[in-house]
Amino acid sequence: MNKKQHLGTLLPGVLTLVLPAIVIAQSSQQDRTTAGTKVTETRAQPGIPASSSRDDTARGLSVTVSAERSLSDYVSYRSGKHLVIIIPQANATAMRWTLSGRGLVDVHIEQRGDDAALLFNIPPDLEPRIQQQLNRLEIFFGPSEPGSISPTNEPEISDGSLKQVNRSSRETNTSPKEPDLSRKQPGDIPGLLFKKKIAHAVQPLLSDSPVSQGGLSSLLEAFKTNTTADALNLDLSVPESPAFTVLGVTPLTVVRPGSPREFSSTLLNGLDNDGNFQNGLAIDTAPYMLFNGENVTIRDYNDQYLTRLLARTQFSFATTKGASKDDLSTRLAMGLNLTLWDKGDPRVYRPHRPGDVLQCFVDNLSTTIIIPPTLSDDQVEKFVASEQKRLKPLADQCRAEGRKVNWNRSSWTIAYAPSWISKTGQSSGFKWNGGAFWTSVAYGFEGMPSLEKVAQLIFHARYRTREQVPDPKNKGQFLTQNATFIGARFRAGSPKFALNLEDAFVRNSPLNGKLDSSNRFSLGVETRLTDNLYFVVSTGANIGRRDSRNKGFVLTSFKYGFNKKSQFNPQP
Amino acid sequence: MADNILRISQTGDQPEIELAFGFAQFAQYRIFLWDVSGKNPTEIGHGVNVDTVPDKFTINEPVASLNNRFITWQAVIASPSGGPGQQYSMKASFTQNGINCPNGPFRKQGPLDTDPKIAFDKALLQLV
Repeated sequence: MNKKQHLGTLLPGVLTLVLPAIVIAQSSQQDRTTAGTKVTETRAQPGIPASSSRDDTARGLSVTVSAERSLSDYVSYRSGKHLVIIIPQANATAMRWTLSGRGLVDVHIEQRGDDAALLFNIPPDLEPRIQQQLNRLEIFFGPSEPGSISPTNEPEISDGSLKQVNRSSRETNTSPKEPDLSRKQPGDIPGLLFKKKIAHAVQPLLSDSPVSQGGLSSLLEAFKTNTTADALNLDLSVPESPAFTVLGVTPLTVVRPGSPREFSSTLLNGLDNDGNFQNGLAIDTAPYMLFNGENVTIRDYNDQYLTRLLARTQFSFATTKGASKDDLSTRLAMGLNLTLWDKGDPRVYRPHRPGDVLQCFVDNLSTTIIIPPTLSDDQVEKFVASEQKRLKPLADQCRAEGRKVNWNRSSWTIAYAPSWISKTGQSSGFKWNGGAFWTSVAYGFEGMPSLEKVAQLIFHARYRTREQVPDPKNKGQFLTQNATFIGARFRAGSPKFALNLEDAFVRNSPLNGKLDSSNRFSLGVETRLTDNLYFVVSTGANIGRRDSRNKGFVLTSFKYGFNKKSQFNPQP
Repeated sequence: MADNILRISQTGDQPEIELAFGFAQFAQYRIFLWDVSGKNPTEIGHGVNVDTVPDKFTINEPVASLNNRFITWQAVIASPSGGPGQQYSMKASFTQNGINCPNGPFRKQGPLDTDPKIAFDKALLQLV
């Protein structure tokens, strides 16, 4: 599909969607207003100690989660055979969990950013249902009962008005929409991703575009396997930990450069692309800094390109093993992430450039205290404590200023990650399981005063061999494909206004299947209404993809809504 | 911690001290010479490790007067990028007539548990 066709198909679709979407969204907003409910108003607080108890009732198994504040903002969904509950702004480590017992296995608690995630492996003979009362979540595992929430593969947000929107969407489409969780980037957080995309936006509509060749049924069929969320917020970053990405797991903790003491205690717990629990070891390190860091001075770092290249090189290693009887496989991957150049590197000294972190340190991190030689180590610690406390906010401010100025500087990063798999779990049975290559080039418009402070252009390419993806024709089955992704993003913004423009070419080559190429496009605009309220409009299209009848189609979406945080402003 | 002992030849030239900071961290430092009772500091030198000025200083006191005096070096060390898992190292090398003094260099390193961190080390000078 050429560029003219691209635009020609996109614009009518967008226009077709704008008016009905606005009408629907406005009525939805009115419903929410009259109900007096705000989606993000009641949240669990960070660090709230929560507790849980388990109760084997006659109906099945019951788990109670409680916190000091309301849990009304939880998100739940099913991922494979697991129930996932996300509690926003909660501290998983502060929770006390004693979940074990009859019929309930594989209970995992994870910290996902600011949120706590509860993962339950659902026994096949039990159906999970959730009831929320103020600060309590009751999770029942038993026969289905009317009047309670039963998590589906579609994420549910615990806000009454929003559920209404979701139900309306399902009724309209007649066919349930299944989020394609298995195709998400492992670094993503499913609950948060969907929370953000659903909680503040009108559900996308389907476009019966004139150029659509497959008709409505084709669109609906396509919609089942291609959520419009795909068309927005493309991931154009090179993963810091390529090994984890290629294995499709999200590690709970990672050994970071220069902290060898944590080496042996870092474990990986998470879900793979198929929704299976995986246990393993996760290591992410900068080997040069780990083994030779004491000899790397900042002057060498500035003077020698090779030192910079080696110091910034990240190595990741991950091995996972299935945590259930059904999954005996052991997978292994290694990854290398190289930053070939980075004009925003805070370790590079550019004293005359505004926002230079090192110059800020020079100007601010001086001390007048003189430590006497008669003090012991402990006495020295106490002697300098208050001075260190005084200097900390100064250093933080320097770094923050640096990030603010350098966020869009030009850089180039490449990464490669091969992987192996042993289906039997035996070390002798490892076989090649494909790999992935990424590269991202960011351009910060240096030297262009009108753009260099507010805009960035990113080009990204990745090639993945032997990627496992769900087979759209056979539910529960997976097929192997080689995937190519080439994308670009232009983003610009200030605290008051932000713009995000993305375009990506995707080509999937299933083994023993037909080539499938498509183009995804999205545009997002955001403006700040008040200090904590942003109005967001986004639209997207997926063009040229072929459905089960080998017909091309156009999938467009339009959303608008209000956010409490900026969604598109790229500046830190 | 046992004090570092730095042996200096009483027939040699003025000793020199050079500081180096690893893990590509920023440092702003000061070096002092103290009397035998650990009082009355005299500043030997100060600087930052990011400029082009060498972090090397001559101890401009008569060698014969250095016996049993303390020399200390302290630095504010900060990570330009911040974040967890940062490390630091601070090394003091002493030379006399261009040759490394016995027992040196003296090194301190570990996690940058507070960022910035004020690192400190010292040595007792002994004439041999």
